[in-house]
Amino acid sequence: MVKIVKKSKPMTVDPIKVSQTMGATLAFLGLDKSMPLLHGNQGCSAYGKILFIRHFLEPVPIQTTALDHLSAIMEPDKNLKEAMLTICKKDKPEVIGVLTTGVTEAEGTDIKRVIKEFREEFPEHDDTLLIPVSVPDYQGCLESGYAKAVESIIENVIVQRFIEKRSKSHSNDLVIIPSAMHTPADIETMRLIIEMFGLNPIFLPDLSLSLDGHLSDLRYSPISYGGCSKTLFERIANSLGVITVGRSVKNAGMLLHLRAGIPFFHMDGLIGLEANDSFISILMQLSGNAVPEMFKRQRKRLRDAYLDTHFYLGQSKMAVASDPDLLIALQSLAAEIGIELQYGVTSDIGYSADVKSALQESNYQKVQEGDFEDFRKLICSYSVDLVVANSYLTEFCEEQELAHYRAGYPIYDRIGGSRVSRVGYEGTADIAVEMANLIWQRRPEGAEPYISDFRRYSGDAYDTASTSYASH
Amino acid sequence: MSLNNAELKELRNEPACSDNDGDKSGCAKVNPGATAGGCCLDGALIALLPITDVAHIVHGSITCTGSAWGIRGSGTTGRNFYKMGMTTDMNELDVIMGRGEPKLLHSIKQAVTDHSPEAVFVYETCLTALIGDDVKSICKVAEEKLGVPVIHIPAAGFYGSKNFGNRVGGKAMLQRVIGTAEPAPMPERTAAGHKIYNLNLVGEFNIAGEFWHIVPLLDRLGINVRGSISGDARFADIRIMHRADVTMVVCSRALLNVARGLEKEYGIPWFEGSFYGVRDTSNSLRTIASMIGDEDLIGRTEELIELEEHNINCELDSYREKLAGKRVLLYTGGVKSWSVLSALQDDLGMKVVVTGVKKSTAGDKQRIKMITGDDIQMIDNGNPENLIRLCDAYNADVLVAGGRNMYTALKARIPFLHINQEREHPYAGYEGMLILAKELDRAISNPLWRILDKPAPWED
Repeated sequence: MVKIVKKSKPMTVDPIKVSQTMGATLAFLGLDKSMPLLHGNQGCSAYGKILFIRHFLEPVPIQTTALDHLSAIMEPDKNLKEAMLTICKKDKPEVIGVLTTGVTEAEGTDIKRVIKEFREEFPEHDDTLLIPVSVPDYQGCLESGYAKAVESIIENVIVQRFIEKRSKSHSNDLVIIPSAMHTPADIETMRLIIEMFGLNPIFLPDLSLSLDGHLSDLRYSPISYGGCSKTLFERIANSLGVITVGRSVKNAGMLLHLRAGIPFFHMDGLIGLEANDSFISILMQLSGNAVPEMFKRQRKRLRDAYLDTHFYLGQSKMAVASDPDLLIALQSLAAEIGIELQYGVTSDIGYSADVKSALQESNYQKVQEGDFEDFRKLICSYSVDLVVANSYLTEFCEEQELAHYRAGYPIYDRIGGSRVSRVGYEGTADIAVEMANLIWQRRPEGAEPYISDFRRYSGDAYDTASTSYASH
Repeated sequence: MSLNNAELKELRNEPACSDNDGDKSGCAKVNPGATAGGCCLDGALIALLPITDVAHIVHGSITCTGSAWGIRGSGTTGRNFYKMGMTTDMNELDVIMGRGEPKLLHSIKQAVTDHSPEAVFVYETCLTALIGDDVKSICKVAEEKLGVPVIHIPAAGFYGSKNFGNRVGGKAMLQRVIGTAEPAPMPERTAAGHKIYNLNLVGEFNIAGEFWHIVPLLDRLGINVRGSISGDARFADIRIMHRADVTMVVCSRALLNVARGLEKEYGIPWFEGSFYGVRDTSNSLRTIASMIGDEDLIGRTEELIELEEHNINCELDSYREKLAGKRVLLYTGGVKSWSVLSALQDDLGMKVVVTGVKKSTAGDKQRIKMITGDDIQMIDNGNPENLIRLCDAYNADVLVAGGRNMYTALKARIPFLHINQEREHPYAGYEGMLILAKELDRAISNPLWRILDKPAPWED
């Protein structure tokens, strides 16, 4: 069992952590015609906007209840109602994610009650779903907030509205809950895989339709344009199965299983040969269809990519700084190609007992809850060949001449982060190849140059005066 | 043609090579339809290209250069002209109109003007030899006009094999370069008061900088590398190779003509040795000292060997545990068939079950027998199918061979270690042995070998 080192120092320096509130925001950005509304002061949303705009290179709708010092204490509920009303009237979203922040949780807000009152006062806006999520930023991290948002969508919408009406008719819909570690391209890849089996995937949420970086016909939209539509929520309740991908969202799938009786499968990730074998097995089982030839080819290519990369990746030492999901998901690739997992520094280990136990059972030498300062110290004391981290570590990696594989939020020094797919046989091969190239690029070319003492004290090897260079 | 029959015959005769009269010469003729090695030009380039400050111009059509320029993995502490691909890139009109000669002259001028090399080597190729370009005269004209040595290397591919090309390159150095300058004055003794001796290296190419594992040891002993053909060498170093105490021929039987020439013309004794493996490295250092014959040097060499062997053996122990008893199929050329073999068996406790001897001479085979007894299969046939079959038949854990065979082995799920000249890792000397052990372990112990053939979900 891996020793988990809890954060012990008072000050966080260069955080790895992005707030739970931002995670919930991200989940709502994966719903169609949706608006994440942060119940807090203006800054709470402004910082989030910067993060996501830099990462996705997309306009990002986020609203705020804009509390000031007086309303925060005297009547924050009024601001929340006003904000919901304004958004409903002005932007006409289908969904508003009502997200708490540290300040409103500390003040003791009861968003469920406020939403109930709003419903009674403004029945004309009943068509707009108001989904409360309690995500104080003094707890958890990005992926836990995202998971909580998904759980709330399931609990407050899908279960409450549609479970009673669950039909017995045969459905071809397969629900996938991808965790926050997935890029829009990851989700698109999963969609292709599932469709190849003749199933109809529904992603909750679906960033591949919203933040994938597409140019729509709308020249402007104040709300998200694309994502999992609320019209799909009823079909989710009637689906033939749910697969969660990423440890943080396991509970969300479990919830759908327990409350709606939907067959449930969990994957820690779709990175690695065996992980994808399991995924394909589940799809074969659920669809009753034979495996498409494409996957046979892809699997062969992955095995060959392992062969081509093993000279570089085998016995290489890797360190990861991220939320726990990616730490956990990278293990199967590492175990298969012989990457030695040195240490993982993670933003938060306490947000769920399940995540904590997954980290304890991991193959890392050491897992530490901490920040980039801790991570850099570890890198300086224990040598590594490859670092997985977001863009905040770029400068350090360049200084230290370390291979840096970018993953996580935010990636702001590369265009196209959301186009990178790391799932499936192909995605796994792509990671292996890129990591190998990164290591290769940084690897010293052969032995350290050595200039002989003798060469040093005779600048010219020969006596120029004595030259008798004979021409033919 | 630039080499006449008499010259060709003379080059083919190499009295110092023990295989000169044998039926299985190191310079055997090639079989049409069943060849895999390089040509004479390839051999000349292998021998000379690592000279760092010489512009190497290949006078011919694009194939001779275009497919494989800049891939030489030799290390340099100076310039790196060998990483450039310079060619006259002869086209159809050049051939028809006889423009090869002026094109070559202008190419030499361009090289000198743009890059200021210490010298220019012009390599003849089949095409330009066939159409009768007078490369030798062009070189002479260029040298007079430009004031830079321009050396003609008559190495057209069809003159012979790669080994033969090595000789052509070596001979050009003997005839045109060695002995054309005298060394700058150097102190008689090192700072520590030891007398300084001079060593020539022939057939050492500083692959992946591996000779930098050896130079520090020589520095400590007070041995100066006078000149080398051609790892990390300067043109100037080669000019003064006639002023040395001893020549070591490193892993290249084909360049024996240089060692022999140095002995015949300048009285420099020579020996053949290897820096692969702990034992061979020590033996080579010992031989250098004993051939120089200075008792003080011999004593200090023994001390250095004892210290270095002790240090490296401590580090190798953990790898020996992992590698001992692992079965190796070794398929490589010439001297390496015994020098690497000895490193694997004697230094790491591995078991070489098959070794390739296609390019090995009768002498090489004798040495293999001395190391292994009769308990080894020697093979000539290195075609991929045969190598895989032998790996299976002999239950080999790893194939150690040249890059051409790498992907063949991997496709057959056989761990592989790259040993030939394009490789990336420096294996020479004591430190090199540790790198070799590490790379072998990395190749053999990777967990992917266990999952590669795990059945797919649809195969259960």
